Amino acid sequence: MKELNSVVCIKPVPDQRFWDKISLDPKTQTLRRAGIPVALGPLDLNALEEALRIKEARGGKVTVISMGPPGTEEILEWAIVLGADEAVLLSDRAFAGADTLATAYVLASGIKKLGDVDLVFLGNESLDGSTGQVGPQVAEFLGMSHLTHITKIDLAGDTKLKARFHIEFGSIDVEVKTPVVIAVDKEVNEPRLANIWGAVWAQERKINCWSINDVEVDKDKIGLPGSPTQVAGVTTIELKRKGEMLTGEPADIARQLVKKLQTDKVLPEALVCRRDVV
Amino acid sequence: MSFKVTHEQELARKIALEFAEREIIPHRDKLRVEDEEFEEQLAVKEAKAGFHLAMIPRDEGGTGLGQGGRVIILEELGAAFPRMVSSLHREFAYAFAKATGGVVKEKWMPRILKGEASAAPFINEPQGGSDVMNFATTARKDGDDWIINGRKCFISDGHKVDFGMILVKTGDPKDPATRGARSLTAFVVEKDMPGFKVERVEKSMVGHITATVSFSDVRVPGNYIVPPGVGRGLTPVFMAVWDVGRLGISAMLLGCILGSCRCSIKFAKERVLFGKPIHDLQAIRHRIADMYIDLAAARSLTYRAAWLRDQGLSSSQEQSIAKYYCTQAAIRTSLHAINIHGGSGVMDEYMPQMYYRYAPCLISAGGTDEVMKDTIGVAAINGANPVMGANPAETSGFHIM
Ligand SMILES: Cc1cc2nc3c(=O)[nH]c(=O)nc-3n(C[C@H](O)[C@H](O)[C@H](O)COP(=O)(O)OP(=O)(O)OC[C@H]3O[C@@H](n4cnc5c(N)ncnc54)[C@H](O)[C@@H]3O)c2cc1C
Ligand SMILES: Cc1cc2nc3c(=O)[nH]c(=O)nc-3n(C[C@H](O)[C@H](O)[C@H](O)COP(=O)(O)OP(=O)(O)OC[C@H]3O[C@@H](n4cnc5c(N)ncnc54)[C@H](O)[C@@H]3O)c2cc1C
Repeated sequence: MKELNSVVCIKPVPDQRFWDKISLDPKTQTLRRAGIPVALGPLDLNALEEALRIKEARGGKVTVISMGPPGTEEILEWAIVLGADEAVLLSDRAFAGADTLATAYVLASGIKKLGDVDLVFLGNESLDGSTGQVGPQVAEFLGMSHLTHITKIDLAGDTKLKARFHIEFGSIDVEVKTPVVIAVDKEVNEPRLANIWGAVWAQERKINCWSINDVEVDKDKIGLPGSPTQVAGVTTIELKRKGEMLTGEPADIARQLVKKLQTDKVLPEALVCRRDVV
Repeated sequence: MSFKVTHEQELARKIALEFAEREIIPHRDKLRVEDEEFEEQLAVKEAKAGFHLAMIPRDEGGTGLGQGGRVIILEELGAAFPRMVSSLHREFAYAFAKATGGVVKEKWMPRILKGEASAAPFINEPQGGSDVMNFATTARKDGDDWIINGRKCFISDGHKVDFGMILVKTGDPKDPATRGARSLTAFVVEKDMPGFKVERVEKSMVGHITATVSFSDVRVPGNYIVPPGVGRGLTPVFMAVWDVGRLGISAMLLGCILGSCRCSIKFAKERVLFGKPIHDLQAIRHRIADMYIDLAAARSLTYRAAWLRDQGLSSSQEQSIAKYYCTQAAIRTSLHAINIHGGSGVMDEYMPQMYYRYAPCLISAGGTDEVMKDTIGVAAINGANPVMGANPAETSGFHIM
């Protein structure tokens, strides 16, 4: 059996335990994130878990890669604690302010430099930006096929794997050839807890820091200047509670409730109902 | 001065904390009612996480995180829920196997590394644990073997462990050469040895089960004697109790202190009285300050005692001081926690009463308050210097770790 080398893209996101401390700066229209600890995104943990399982089944190497500011080492180190063999941090002032396209471009250039890669794993979408664009964009830059919303992966032969993704009323099974970029959903696996050996691996395994000089990139395609999308404005949604009592028979109340939710655009106008319920 | 928690040990804390957040904290209701099936599963998960490997050196197949790493892990697991943390028994297994060496080590080490072997000290006797010279369990020589007869009580998880280190009388009171301390010998005994019996299981106030075990004509091979050998039993027993038992108990008490602090700070932020969170009341803040001071002091004492051991230095006094201080501080802080929580503090589904009920369970385990103070007092009178601590002259030259 051929060994499979995986790269896992991990993004530093604000630790969910501190979300109440994040606020919006009304002047600069940016988030005030200073002092908020970063964590590995939840779906990125699923992505890492899948790569680790494949390594355990087939051998090979798991490399984690991230583009982020200094301080991102902490989440890369945690990925090593969980079992990754090596880590790469792409960090440079020139990379800052990137949109999804510029992010994917730099990540892809880092992955190209790593060389011999069979599988690239990502979270389907990040916890904060959650555009879900980085996976497919990385695949384009690498010239690989890509799969998104993946909920199940099975190895099938040396260079083939089977995968499943969900659609609204079912799921679709596909077979792909490696190399392939795979963006996973949380159903794909249950991420492991760290083993105490992780504390030792963190001392022994390396985090490589790559700047703009270490990767082959077109300077016009990176950072804020290289980003076609720009944030035009950010608004905070004010959430207010409203109380209203409905009266009548239960079935009647249910009908009134659905109408109201449709008027308020919480539910779509045309509801698809299961016949046996109606 | 140089005494520092390493980055590796801080990572060990994070690993234990994440474990606790997934495997312990959401399941506190099961631990509260002492759901045995759940406790068994948790013990297996703790073994799988490899927590017992912290204190085993790298060249013996462990992670080499030292007593320091081990103490931090036990602290976090104990903070999540106060109880006898299962890895303590795996750590005893390693300590006893290492102290005995030879066939015992060869036989048990593979299972110890996998987390599949557990052990406990079989020391305490019904007629009074503090009076070791009065112990009644005996061993007599029969060819190359020894025959053990007697009873040991309050043995933590005594009904479950695979083996133990037992302290017995081998001397002759009429022979001056084998009287007093020279009358005691330590052996490794295994639960499958014919004549070993679990007499009864004792349930403590909370979360800590012990057993009385008896030995009738239990035949033990001569190479199961713990070095330095016949009539020298106190040396390894005390070392095991210091290195593994006492430090481990201090760490679990540290968990009670840490847990009490955490739940109290959380509650003081969430509870609103007179239009403000109660931490705004100076009286509450001062209680929290007292708890925090106890946490800082207890940690400093325990971590330093562990650090001394990791440097290969004697820390017997420091371990006694840490154990005594942690016991008192855990009782104080958990009572503060009850106070801060108001009525909720004594209710089943809140944590303060759990910490408050567990802390006293450890007063006697590993040596009572009086016994701790007595050893500390004797050392002080004999000129021990608590600031310098590791006086090379104190080093006995025999360490389990
Ligand atoms: C407040 C805010 C405003 C933003 N505004 C814009 C904007 O105007 N236009 C725009 O295009 N983008 C914007 N972004 C997105 C920003 O550019 C992203 O941080 C980044 O480009 C990745 O996009 P994403 O988070 O949506 O990734 P997604 O595509 O949702 O992430 C999927 C997966 O890609 C991987 N991944 C994503 N980023 C990285 C990384 N840096 N390193 C390693 N792996 C990674 C992870 O595996 C992740 O799970 C904004 C983000 C935030 C938080
Ligand atoms: C939860 C728990 C777990 C335990 N686990 C184990 C185990 O795994 N293995 C094991 O071998 N034992 C274990 N023990 C037993 C423990 O070591 C003994 O309880 C302890 O040594 C005290 O012995 P005792 O209970 O017989 O009290 P006693 O020795 O009878 O003490 C009675 C009182 O006399 C006081 N006293 C004793 N000596 C002096 C002195 N010199 N000066 C002044 N006062 C003194 C004591 O402090 C105490 O207040 C455990 C105990 C508990 C509570």
